[in-house]
Amino acid sequence: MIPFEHIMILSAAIFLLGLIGLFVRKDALTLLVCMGLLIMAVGVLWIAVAKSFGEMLGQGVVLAIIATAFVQGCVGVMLILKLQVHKPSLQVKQFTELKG
Amino acid sequence: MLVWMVLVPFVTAGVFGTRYLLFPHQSSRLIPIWGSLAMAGTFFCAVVLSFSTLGRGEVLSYVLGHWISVGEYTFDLKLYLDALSSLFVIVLTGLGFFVQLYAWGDQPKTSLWVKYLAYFHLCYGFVLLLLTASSTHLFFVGWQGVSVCGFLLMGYGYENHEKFLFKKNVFISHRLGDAALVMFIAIGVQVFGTLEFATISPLQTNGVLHASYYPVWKLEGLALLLFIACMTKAALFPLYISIPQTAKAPTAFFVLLGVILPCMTGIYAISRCAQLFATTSIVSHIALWIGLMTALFGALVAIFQYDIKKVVAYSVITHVGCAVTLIGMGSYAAGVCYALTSTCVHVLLGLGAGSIVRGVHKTSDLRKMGGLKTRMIATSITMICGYVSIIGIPVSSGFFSKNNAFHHVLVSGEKWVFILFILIAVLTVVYMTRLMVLTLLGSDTRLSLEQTQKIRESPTLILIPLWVLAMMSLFGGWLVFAMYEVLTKSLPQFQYVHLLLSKTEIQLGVGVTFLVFLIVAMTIRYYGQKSKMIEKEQRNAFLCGAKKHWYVDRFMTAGGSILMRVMASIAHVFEWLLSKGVRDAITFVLQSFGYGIRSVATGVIQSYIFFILLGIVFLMVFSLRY
Repeated sequence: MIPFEHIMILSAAIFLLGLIGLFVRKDALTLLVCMGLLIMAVGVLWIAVAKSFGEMLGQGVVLAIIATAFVQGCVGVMLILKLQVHKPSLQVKQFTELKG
Repeated sequence: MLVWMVLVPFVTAGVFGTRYLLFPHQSSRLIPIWGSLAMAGTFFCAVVLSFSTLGRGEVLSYVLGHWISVGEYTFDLKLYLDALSSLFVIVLTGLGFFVQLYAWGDQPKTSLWVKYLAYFHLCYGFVLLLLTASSTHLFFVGWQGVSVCGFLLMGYGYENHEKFLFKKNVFISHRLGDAALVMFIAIGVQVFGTLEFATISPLQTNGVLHASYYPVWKLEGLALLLFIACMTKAALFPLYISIPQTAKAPTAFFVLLGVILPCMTGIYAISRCAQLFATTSIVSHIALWIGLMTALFGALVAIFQYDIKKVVAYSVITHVGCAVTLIGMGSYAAGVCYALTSTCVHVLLGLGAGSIVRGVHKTSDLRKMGGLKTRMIATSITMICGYVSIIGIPVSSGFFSKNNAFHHVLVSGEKWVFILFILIAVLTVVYMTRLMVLTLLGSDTRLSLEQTQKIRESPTLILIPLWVLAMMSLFGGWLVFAMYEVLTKSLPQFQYVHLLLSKTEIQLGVGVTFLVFLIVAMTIRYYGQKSKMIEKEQRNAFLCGAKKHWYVDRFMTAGGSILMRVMASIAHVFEWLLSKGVRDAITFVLQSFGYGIRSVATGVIQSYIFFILLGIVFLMVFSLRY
């Protein structure tokens, strides 16, 4: 049995990785993947907490989180594909005029 | 069995409605048979149940379940049948059966009819629910259902604009009544702490008055609210306009909406809360005078109507007014007895009028009728039975109820009321005799020769209810006695008058009978020369006013329109305020807010993520600190 602290550290590591990725990387698809990492970090934490408290509900929530992440990815990719029509680029800096 | 009785009409309505939805273009022979069987079933249930309620004086109740529980109040969904309500239920189910039989005989060949029969049964079910409700909230369900079904039923047989106008009138007046009833329920809960009818009363069961325990103005206010609600349903003076307008509907619907419902909803509500009414003096007086005014007014209009069904409708208004007058004087048993008896007779007259209209090729104009006594013999005989009963010829049921009413008025010692009552009775005799003379006597119809020869008696299905009702109204005097017995036992605070032919009563009866015969003779003589009379009436300006219902209808319609216009202009002011003031204010705030926000919005994703991160950190710190 893996101790709870270890899993917490793992989750924090994944979260940090995603966060750093979000700030450092510049192309849209990588940003999407980083967001996925953030979400998955939270999911791992949910499972760990659920297991340590002996509650099954947490694992159910993770299913919902996975579904949300999937949908988020789909929508993101679709938006990126649509943006390609205007500018054939993946760099997010190119799209700053979308601020409104 | 109580539950079944209430459930059967709803199930029937459901089946008819489903059938109409599934096969909208077919009419079936099974539909009217089913409808009549359902009506007969409820009548049978009502009779069996009344053996225990009327015979042994028991009170039946059945709890369907809990409905609402708020704080310390819990309201049950409870059906309840005591002597008073079972009397109403028996009359309603019996008359409903006859009306359904008539509808069977009278049904047109369109499939749309099935839909309206479904509404008919739904309406009937809601009235049963209203009559068997043990508490005001269930009563309110029935009350609303009756309004809705009335609204739906009026859709049949009207041209579009007329339908719209009628529905507008009904809508406005019924909303007023509903508002009053809702306020009655709310204040009733506050005052009495309960919604059960049995406990909405300042009287205890042993008859001791506890009115001083409650503030008088609250009791008066409660009674006034209930009375306003009943005014819309029982068709009292300013709000009666929906009743005559039902005359254009098919006869079965006319009889249900215009004849049966005023008694079954309005009068029932008042008599159910008789204990509350008995402690009020101001509202009782209001009821007394409004009732009298309604009766007088209805009779005055009825004399000059040329539409046969409208005469019956105004006659209903007259009699309901008389019943309310009696109730206002504190003779509840006599009032309710009067209302129930006259309802039975009016159902006969309404169905008979429908049969006549059917016979003379769908015109309801009295001026075109005449000489039907040889052409529609059965209808004529039954109509005459109803006529005899309603003008109060001795031994008919109308005589006993009317005599009883007169006696109560005389004993109460209010001279003016008594004089007006006599006047109303005289007017009743005049308009009913006029109706009979114009339709049955004489040798000429004003239809073309070809049409006159085609006048045929209605089919047997229509005649059966007519015959039964006619026999009841002729020989049902003992039923009136029985009814009065039951009512005096179940309605407290009645002024007890020994009914069975006291000396004054005999004198009164003889006097009234002579008066009646005298007036009948005079009226027949006056209206016998028909064509002259019609010319005379058309020339007279006074009568023109009467023909137009003394302009009350028009006034009320205009009042409704003005009300709507005022509402619309208020709405316009609000709209202007909203569009100009509030909208501009909101845009100003948002714009100035936007200037600040816009500088933050760079369009670079990383900066957004940074702000989100800042927010999360802030939330975490906040939640950890506090």
